[in-house]
Amino acid sequence: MFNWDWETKEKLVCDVSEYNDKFCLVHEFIVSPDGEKIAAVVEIEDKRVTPCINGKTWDDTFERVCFLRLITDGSVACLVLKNYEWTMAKDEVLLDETFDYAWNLQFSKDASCVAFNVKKGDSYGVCVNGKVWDNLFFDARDLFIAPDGSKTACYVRTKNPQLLDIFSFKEGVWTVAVNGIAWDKNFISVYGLTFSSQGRAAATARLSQQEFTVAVDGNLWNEIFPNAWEPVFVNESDICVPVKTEKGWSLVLNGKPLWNKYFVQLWHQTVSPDGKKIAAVVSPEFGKWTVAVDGVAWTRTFSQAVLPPQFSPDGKKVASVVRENNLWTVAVDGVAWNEGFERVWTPQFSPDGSHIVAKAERQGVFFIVLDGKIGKDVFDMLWEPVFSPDGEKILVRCIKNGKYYRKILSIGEILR
Amino acid sequence: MVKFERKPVTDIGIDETLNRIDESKIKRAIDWVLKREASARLKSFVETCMRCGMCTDSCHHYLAHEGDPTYAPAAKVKQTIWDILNKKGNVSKDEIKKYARIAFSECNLCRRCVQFCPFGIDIAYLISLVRRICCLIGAVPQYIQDQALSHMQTTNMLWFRQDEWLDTVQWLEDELRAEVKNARIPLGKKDAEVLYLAHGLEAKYMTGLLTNMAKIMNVAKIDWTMPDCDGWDYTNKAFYAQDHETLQKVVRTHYEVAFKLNVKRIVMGECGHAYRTGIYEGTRLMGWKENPIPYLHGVEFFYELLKSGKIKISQKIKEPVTLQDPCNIIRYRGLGEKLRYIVNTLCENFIEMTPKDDHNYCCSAGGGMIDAGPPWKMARIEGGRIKAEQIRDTGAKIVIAPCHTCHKGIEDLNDYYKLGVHVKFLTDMIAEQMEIPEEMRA
Repeated sequence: MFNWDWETKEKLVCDVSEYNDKFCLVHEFIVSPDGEKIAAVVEIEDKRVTPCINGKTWDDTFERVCFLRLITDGSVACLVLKNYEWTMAKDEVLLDETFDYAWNLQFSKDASCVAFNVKKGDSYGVCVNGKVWDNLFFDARDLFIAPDGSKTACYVRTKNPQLLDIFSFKEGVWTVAVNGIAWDKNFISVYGLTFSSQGRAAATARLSQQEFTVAVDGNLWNEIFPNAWEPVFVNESDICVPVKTEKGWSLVLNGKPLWNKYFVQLWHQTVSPDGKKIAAVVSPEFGKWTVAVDGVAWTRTFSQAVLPPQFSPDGKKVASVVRENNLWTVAVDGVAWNEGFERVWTPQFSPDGSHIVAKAERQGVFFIVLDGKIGKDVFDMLWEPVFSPDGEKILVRCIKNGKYYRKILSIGEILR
Repeated sequence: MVKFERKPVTDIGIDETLNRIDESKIKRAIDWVLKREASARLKSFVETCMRCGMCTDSCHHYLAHEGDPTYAPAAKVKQTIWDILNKKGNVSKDEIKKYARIAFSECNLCRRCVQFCPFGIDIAYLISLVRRICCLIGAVPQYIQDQALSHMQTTNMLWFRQDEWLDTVQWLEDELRAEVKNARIPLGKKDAEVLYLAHGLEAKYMTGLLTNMAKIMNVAKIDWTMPDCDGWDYTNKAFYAQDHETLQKVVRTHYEVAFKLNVKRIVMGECGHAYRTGIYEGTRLMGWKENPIPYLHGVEFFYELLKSGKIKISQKIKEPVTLQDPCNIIRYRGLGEKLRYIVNTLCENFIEMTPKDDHNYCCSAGGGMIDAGPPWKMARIEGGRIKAEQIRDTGAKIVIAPCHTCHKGIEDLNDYYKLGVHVKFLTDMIAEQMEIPEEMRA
């Protein structure tokens, strides 16, 4: 982000209106985080597809191209079906190894790890940087990459009872595998897998109908709860998770009560960047939703939806996308913007927390909303705006009149 | 008092579970449900019922069993939850077995009886409490339990792996290309207007139905997607077991996928119980009074498409047609008028059943009875005699059943009672009868 071009005011990256004449079909567009690339899978002829980046297609074509990704190191990766075998292609180079199926291509933030789920024969696992896990399983679902890219994990099925063998399934057939090594305990269900910054893995483990706990690197907490949602690392040693108690839903830390407050519902707990505060989506009363910070709920509530809270970088402010009266908007520290929209995307705080910006939609067109005020421009298509590291400028990635632009606007220029 | 007499039925989900558990588990489950979960409704219902018997004739199971009073709604409550209350929860394994049989195979939770109760007592709620107790004990019909166990981890009903879902949709798209030029079934597309969720069976045994929905989406030019992750299956069989923990996880997953993809609304196909969980019973368990975003049943979606002209019907069916009103979308949710608009758009000769709309009889497969599997098939076939007679009386050759459960249940009634009808989904009818512009044809 620091190396991005924050000076060029406007760059016409690609005239995407030409695509419809050039190709039989254009799949959905994606853009790179820095806005320098726009890509889509395009159909050259019926059932022959390839990625097209900034107007240029790859030389090779495929039966299918899925999970097209513009990776943070500038490379382009996707999963391709060629000659009825799946593999990964990165910058037009295909892995030697092929798979019966491949899906869910992901990469770590630093791009050091590119991984995807694979099926080989009747076995399932993960392919990490071109190498398949040493151990494969009866099933492997979802994919998680540690923040530093050093570990990958999945939910895996280590036993394979016959269908309808409910007693074997009730003993537990699911667990977590990290780098292909399964934890030594099985559960009837395991979910909410998350990594700490140093690669510890935690997940919620369901032991029976009403016995839920947290497993950390395969070790279970002593405390059991009648229900629990997903855990979150507060730091390397502390984990918090919403649990159901006799009084309602609350947050526990390492199995012990953290918030002495109870709610009809509680989820999406989020830790502030400095690790000192926790915000969560809560329902203090049936039908009413809001955000609670360190257990204290905003006074203002919303009747339809409150999405995961976002902390400002300094941890002083909290914002959430909220929905009421069939309109979406953003609430910051319990105060909702006056304007409502058909859709609002996840907002972003400026580095000093003084501004907040989001993409929004009304009547089929998109615009930028800054601090609750609607920007002057409307776009045919828009991706989430991004603040520059100094907070003075905003990167706008947009399509207008069929052309994809990368723009750098000052805060004043958004609203003027 | 008339004796409770039934043919023996073996279901290892109930019988074998009860053999394996310690009897103390029964009391713990009852105490949990009655003290921590049962709301004031239980107390008020128990104290309000005057034993007037107004509900008796409303129940298709009672009518189908020649007026056997043990099948009357109030009697089913008396023989289960009231019995539990009278015994202060000190009940035996054999009694649990009897309660489970009544709760899972003699009540469809259809709520027809509620409409006849002078006090509006929700008997379906009371029977649900019995199921919840059975669930916490573990005494659930094997076939329902299996599906609930699948939902717990995969969120789909049939242990489908993630690649199986993706691969299936991709070959369905290939098939659709033979009919519709450049047809697409987008997976995991962000910012689409509509997130379409499918019935689990449509990914395995009834793929034609999913293809037809994709065909409608393409012809109507809907900006849509389906999930490329877990959460694609709208069914929620945990509801039948009253496995609230799994039920909530499944419903929440659907909404979380919608939020993640930033869609405007969720559309599901033709299913009753999933609408019930996704729109009201499941969402309310989690604290939502209003839906976080719109969640449309296929009937509401098709009504929109036809009313707005996005889909035009080129030919109407001339044969006599009748309509099954699925309890969960009609009696519970009032979609009867929209459903009739669609039916009248598709058919020339529509004959209503009697009674109809919100007073229609349950198909006898709903509420999990069909999901309870082969052991309980005859229980629903017997209970479905009233529905079979309703259908026969119309003289129709086609029965429209906009619900997977009603659909399969009526197919079985058709076979058993030799009704000589075809059972149709709206999706298939619209896909077959709509105009496809020439430029869209492959």
